[in-house]
Amino acid sequence: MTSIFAVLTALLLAPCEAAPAKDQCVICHATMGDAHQAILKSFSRDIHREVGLSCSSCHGGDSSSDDPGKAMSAEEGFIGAPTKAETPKFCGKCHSDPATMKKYNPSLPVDQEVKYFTSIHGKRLQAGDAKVAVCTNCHTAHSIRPAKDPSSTVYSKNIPQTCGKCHSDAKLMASYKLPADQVAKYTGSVHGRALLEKGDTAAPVCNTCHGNHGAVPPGVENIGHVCGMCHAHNEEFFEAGPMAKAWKKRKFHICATCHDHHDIKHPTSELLSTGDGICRKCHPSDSRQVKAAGIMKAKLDEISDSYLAAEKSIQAAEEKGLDMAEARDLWDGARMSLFQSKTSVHTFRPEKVAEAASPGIEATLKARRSADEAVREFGQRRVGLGIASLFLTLLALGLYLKVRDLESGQS
Amino acid sequence: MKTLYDAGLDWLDERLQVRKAMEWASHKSVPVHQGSFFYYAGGVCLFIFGLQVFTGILLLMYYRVGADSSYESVRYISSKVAYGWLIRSVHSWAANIMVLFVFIHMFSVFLMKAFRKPRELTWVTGCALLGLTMAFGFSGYLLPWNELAFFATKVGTDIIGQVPAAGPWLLKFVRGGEEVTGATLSRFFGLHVAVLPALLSLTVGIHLAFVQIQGMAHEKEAPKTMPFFPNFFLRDAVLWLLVLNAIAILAVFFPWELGRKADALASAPAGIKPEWYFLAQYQFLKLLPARILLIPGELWGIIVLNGAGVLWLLAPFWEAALPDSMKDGAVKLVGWGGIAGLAAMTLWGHLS
Repeated sequence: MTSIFAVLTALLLAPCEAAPAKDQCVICHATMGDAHQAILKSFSRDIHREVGLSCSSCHGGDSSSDDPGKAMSAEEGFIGAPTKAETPKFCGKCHSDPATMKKYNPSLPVDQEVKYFTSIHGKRLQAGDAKVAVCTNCHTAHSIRPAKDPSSTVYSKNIPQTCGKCHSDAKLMASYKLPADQVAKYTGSVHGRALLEKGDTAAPVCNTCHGNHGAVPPGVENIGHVCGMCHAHNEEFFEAGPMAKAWKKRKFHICATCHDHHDIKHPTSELLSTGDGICRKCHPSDSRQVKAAGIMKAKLDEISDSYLAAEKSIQAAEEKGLDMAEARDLWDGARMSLFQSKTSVHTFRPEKVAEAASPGIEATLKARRSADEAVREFGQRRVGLGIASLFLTLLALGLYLKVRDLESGQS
Repeated sequence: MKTLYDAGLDWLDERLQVRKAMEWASHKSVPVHQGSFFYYAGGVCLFIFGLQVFTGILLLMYYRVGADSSYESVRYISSKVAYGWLIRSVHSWAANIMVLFVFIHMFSVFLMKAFRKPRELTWVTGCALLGLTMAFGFSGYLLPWNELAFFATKVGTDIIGQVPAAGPWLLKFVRGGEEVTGATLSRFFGLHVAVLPALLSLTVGIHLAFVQIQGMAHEKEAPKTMPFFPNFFLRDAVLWLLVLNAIAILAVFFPWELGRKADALASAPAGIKPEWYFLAQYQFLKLLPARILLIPGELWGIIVLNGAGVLWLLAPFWEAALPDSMKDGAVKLVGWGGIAGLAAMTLWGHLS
């Protein structure tokens, strides 16, 4: 079976158009046991193979020679398998060279290697730590697929698992005094659920916040900017608000203090609860800040309740086959207001929250009235139908009796 | 002392000889036998046509044809105009029920052999009315300019394009261009509210005139008859009221949906099917392989369907040419076979 596979692999790989007509690397290694065959099998689907590169493109040597001594000689430029420390430069040979990359994928950046050495991984590697991740740890060595390919280890939905290979390894992480629960926390977070459960590939994943090749943990100073890449208004409101200066002074994480970082939950108005809300972590219950939080919470609850009630009414009307397009438009518009009012919480000013919420509350009330009115009218339709139907039936019955009367007279 | 009725009648009689017409009508009779019930189907078609004209005129008051206004105006009719939803729903339901009764009328006439001499031309005009009714349905279906209508019209008119030689020209003529666009909508609107009502009114007039001249057909000498006025007419009216009642119930409990606006760039919704009265033909075309003897399967389908239509139209003529011993059997076979075939294909189309 193994030898059949070896022959098939050799046949599959050998006649590739861009590869040399006779790839001696493949021919020999296909006969050299399972580990070699596994490499050949995975490389058959590798993006490098697809663009016409062969073993010798990376590992050097003369792939046309059937003499192993000659094919894998230093004279022929044979490099062999790079060590971990050599790997970034090994890949960077092509990936850091714009002229080479332009031939295969002009849109691909060529700064990965430079960025890598700015990352924690890169810096530790330079310091002689061979346990850190290099190119092949994330991308694999011989099964590399483009990041947009769902089978790629760096496809957005696969990234938590890829990073988790090391970062969920408690023993390994303990040696760096790092927690190993980030992936588990992320999986249950609002972002993780969006990506992994709903399949929303626009949801942020590890590298969205940490960077990929230049991966470093965002510091206290810049975490707001990292979250602000997507939550721009939240950052803008917070930075312009009364809390920013005090938080910076106390070195609080701008977003993570209230929302956590890997374990970010869907924020509800309960965060503003005057009882056990997040504000109570610092402010006493009778402070004006907690009172302000209470007012903001009440406004958020009002728009949320109104929004949900309107949806319920619209659905009830639609289930009866009634056209609720106008009410739906109002309701859709209110959703924007709902988001804006939630975002406005980051100003920490109740009047700003009320200002953002009021058009939405008004729109949802209007939509709800319109839907309820339509349902009421629908009920009246049945009453109307009942009366009309009774009239038509009586008329038909009257005519029928008339005919019978007429015909009994005729007979 | 003359009553007001008699005085009015005298006034009209002096000018239009209405008493002569009444005298003629009073002698008009309808045979009474086992199948008499089916005589009412034609009257129901006529009644629903009147209902369609009435509701259609009301809809016309608000409907604005155009790719940018048709959908919006129908939405306005359904949601804003007082009783607009009722009128639209009645119009849509009545259209379907009218087609149903046209089929009942046609098959009952066929199976009662009422197409035989001297009623060949009545049959031919009836077939023309069937075609006009189907054309009414097809053209009216597009007018709300919603997603379903758009794609059903696209598929339906694509079939016209398969006609050999003249196909591309016919397709362009029907659509008003290469694709189903606002131009198609304008054409269908013109057809639906002007051309077809005129043609159908004229054909119905001729059809009714033939019926009046020839009287109701009955296979054998009916043992008894009933006067058309008032007996049959009143019985007709009872059925009309019941049909109207049924349409009103359907309109209230199952208001006709509008769906989403047509979007030429969107992909066709999954499981799209034509209206039920085109479903049998659609299913038949769907079953054909891509090519039969190097000729596109769809073209074969069109040939077969048109051939069947021509045979149906010419039924009084080929049936008359058959030996006497075969006539009744042939009518039964073709009639019941046609009903079973149409019903089976429609059901298959509906379920698949």
